[in-house]
Amino acid sequence: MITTSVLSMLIPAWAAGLAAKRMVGPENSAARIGAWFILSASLIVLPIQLAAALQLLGIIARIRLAVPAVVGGALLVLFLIRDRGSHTDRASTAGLGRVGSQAGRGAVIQAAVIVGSTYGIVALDRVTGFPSSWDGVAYHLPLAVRWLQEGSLALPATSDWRESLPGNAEIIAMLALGTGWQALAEMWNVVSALGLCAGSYLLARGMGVGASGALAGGVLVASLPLVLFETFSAYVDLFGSACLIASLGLVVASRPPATASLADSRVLALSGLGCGLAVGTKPTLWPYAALVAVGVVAALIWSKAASRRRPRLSLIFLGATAAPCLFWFVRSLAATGNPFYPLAIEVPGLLSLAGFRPSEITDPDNYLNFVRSRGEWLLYPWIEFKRHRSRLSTGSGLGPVFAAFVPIGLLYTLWSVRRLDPGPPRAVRLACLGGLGLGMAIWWVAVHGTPRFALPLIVLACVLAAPFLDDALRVRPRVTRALLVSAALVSALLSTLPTAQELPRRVRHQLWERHRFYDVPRLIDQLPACSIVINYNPEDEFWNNFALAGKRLANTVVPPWAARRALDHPPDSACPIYLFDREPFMSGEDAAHVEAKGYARIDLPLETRWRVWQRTVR
Amino acid sequence: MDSDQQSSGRLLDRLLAGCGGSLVAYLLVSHTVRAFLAEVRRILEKVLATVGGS
Repeated sequence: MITTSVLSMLIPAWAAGLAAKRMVGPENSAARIGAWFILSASLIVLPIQLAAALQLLGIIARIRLAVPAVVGGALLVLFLIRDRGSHTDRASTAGLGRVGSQAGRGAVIQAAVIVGSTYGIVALDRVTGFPSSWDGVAYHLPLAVRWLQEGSLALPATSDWRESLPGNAEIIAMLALGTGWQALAEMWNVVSALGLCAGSYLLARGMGVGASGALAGGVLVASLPLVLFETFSAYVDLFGSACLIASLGLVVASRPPATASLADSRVLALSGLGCGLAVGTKPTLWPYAALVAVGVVAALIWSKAASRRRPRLSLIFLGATAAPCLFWFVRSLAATGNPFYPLAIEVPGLLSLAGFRPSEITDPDNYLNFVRSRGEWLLYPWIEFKRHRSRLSTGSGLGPVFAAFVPIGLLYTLWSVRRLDPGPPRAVRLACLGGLGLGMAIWWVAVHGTPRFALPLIVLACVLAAPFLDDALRVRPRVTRALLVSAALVSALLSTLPTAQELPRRVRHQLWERHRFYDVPRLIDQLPACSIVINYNPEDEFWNNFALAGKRLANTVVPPWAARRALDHPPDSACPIYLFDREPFMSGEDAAHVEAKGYARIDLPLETRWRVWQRTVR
Repeated sequence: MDSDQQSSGRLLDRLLAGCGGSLVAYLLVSHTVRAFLAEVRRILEKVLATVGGS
């Protein structure tokens, strides 16, 4: 399985590299990175989805992890054979290769090195540890483990919302876990960060910003602590946002929508794939993906392209959008009758589809963890209030670079847009400003909750500040450099302190072994194959869902939300069943109930934080 | 330099001053910075206590 998983990640990435070169040309690195990111993800996700559909139809017994390697390998052979006989048949990339202003490049590179070093430090922490992001180990990675064990992407019997969400990112995490190096299940998001920065750069170039200004926009994005910590986590917001921004960046930078030229169908297909990957990643991204799709189709309709080609180009984009997300809607429809499951759909008097209301998934008062009133969101970039944890993390954090440049940069772009001559850069800036305004309104009314649900909008705001940085670097290079580098240094200091504390702690306590890292009994790694482990902990102990799978990921973990049911209705399985309870322990009454169900306590003399039972009756 | 460039330069000067002010405001009011300083202080106190104890 290890070799298969490694090949299923590497071969699609290699094939995507060749395909990206053919599709957008070799002259613009950002466009190639953006195209490569979207194609790599598609070449992994689409074959697995196809195999999963066949498995759900009963045509094959289980999903084979080798599928992406086989599909990627076939493409690779095709490209190599075609490249021998002819020159690369690539799309026109007018507009992608403009050199533009180089002013202030040194300042931007200095800031990029500082921001990049924070990524290096956090990467060191993650490489030497195990997955530890909260939602990651609570349900994203346990879902990937379940798929890996069962060879199926079927909805679970529990129909819990955490296990029923669309899971494009979890498919990649599943392959990463299959490699045996569990840290890779978080580390692969480095590719998402690359795609996000490349997409931001392309979008800024599409706004008519010079190379240095566009690079500065990318640095703004990378400096966001939210992006930094999501890069090294199993959260899925970054992957989905990167797909959306790369999608937008490719279509805008290759063929600005207001030009007379036709959008290239291959770039449109790439852009559609990116949009669809985002839709198949998380429902919170659906409104933003809809905005991107409407924007691209509207740009096609209003372009001066030959009218007979517009429907075809729109269909190419929409077809590519549907490809990486349709599976999840069909899966939900077949299993529950609601294509949008786990989301409940209620149209009074017309339609009622069962599922969970958004308030059941995210507490409506969750925003109070970040602000004390809704009005405080307007001051959030400066205040960064946090009710529980004050450090920057995946949950929030825009950082000092954002606070220094983005609000003012946005005002400058708003002011300067009226001074620009009509043309593609002006149209792109206006479209992005409009999209940001609409997106913020949607977030405020419908999504809300936490800053990371607005990640595509935060990134768009950074990109819209790039014209200001471009002009400032050109006209006042020394002051701008001083500000940019100072803000980047403050950001680096704030972001790396948690890691600087964690690494020595890991060395001091020798937390290199998985069970020690997660503070679970060593027994968890020694259970017989196919053991079922009930994680009988209160709901705030979701943390252990991934840890209890063991170092070989061989244990089937029953999460806390299904533990009671599993206790009262034991799984119909010949595998041994264990129940793990972490302090604060269950009540005496509950312990008696467990024993009444045929469980006997296992003595763990050196363990004080855990109690373990094994089911002894069948 | 024409008047348009001059006014543009003046505007950028003001906006960059605003950026500086914005950064200072972040440093003064951000809960992240406060938590960072509290953590650094805690670490320093621990180090000083260790050095003093030995």
